[in-house]
Amino acid sequence: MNISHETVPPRETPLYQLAGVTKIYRKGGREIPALRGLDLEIRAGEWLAVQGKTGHGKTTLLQLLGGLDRPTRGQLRFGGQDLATATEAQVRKVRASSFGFIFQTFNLIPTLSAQENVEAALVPLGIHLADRRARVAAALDSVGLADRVQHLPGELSGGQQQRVAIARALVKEPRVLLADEPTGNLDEDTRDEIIGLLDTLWRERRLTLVLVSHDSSVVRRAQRIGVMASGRLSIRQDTRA
Amino acid sequence: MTAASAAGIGMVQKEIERLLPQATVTSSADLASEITGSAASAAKLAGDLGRWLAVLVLIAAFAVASLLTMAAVARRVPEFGTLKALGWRSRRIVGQLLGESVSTGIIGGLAGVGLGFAGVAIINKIAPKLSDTLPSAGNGAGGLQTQTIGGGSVVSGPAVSHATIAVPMSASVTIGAIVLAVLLAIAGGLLAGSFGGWRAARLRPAAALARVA
Repeated sequence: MNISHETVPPRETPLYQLAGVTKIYRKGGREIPALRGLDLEIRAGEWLAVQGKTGHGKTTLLQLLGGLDRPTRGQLRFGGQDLATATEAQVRKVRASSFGFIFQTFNLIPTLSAQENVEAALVPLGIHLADRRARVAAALDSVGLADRVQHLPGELSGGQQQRVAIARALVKEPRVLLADEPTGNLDEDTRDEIIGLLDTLWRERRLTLVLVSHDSSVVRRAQRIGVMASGRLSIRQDTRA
Repeated sequence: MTAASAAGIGMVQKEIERLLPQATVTSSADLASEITGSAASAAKLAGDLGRWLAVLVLIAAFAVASLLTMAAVARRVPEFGTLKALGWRSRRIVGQLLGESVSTGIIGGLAGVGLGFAGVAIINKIAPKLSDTLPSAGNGAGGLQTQTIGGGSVVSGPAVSHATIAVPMSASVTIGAIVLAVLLAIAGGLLAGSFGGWRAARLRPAAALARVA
């Protein structure tokens, strides 16, 4: 079953267009700039990796791209819609249908089984229960967890938990996959396994993948690599066609 | 001094009071009236005290339930942040929290009713058997029971016999009390869930996700 998305922009039109995006946090009367006038375009289907030291704005950028937060200034267009000025309901709708998130700490709900965790991503889309169950089974199968459907997160290894999180991100067939340090809590072997899986899914599903990591071995698989430093992004590598 | 019948006791009492103005003359009827009055006052006092204690306990229970729910919401902030990131509406999250709180309230209410029944059974089982011995005049004439004279002399009354009456000490459970207890438990759940839901609804997804350990 397909989920209706917003109008897909023409191929040459970037999926994301960021112009002068600034994000300032306020804490105890102090202003802490996280992003400083960032300009960026991301094409549909590309893999952008963002590297950088902790506290230089990587996660903030990802949160803005995912509609989890809004810029203090600037324009952030996704598929022609400015997420900076859209209403909360509009942003929530885009988030529910178009963005899949993968977090460093997996963020699975501990009291729900793998199946229920994945299903939680389909609840806001109002999909019928039978369809939901079928899609959840397919998503868990695609990450190699067909035999762990009823397991609670606590009964799964770190790698398996991240696979559940990937299934949850993909089950709604999003246009963009946003991954924040997806291998940060995993050992080396599991890291390679998860990145290999993301690589395969990105190719097979023609996803737009934005991945934040400080791990060079993870980042080098991307088409484009940007480095965040003091709230500014500079592109270091671009192998896009 | 003897009264020929119960009807004559008042007259005899007055006569004694006239002859011995310093004496306090008390008839069985006076004694019974005083005891009844004291018992009624004690019962009223106990009733009022119980009512206010119940109100205080109820307020404390609501406050504790609300605080515990708020603490649970604080622990689950990352979970709510994740659900918001997945596109869940705030009102759906609030609805879920309210559902959980009301369910907890119903379970707590039913458990409370069960405990109440158990408590009543225990009270009824171990309650001491109370009895009271009441004086009654011989020949059905009633009589003068107590006479205290300022100088310490005692005037004897008529022959007095004693009757022992058992005073029942038991707790009871009424349907009204059960329904009220369950309704209050549900109301407590709703109140606690509302506080927690209000807090969860105000969470921004980015801020909630930043709280992940």
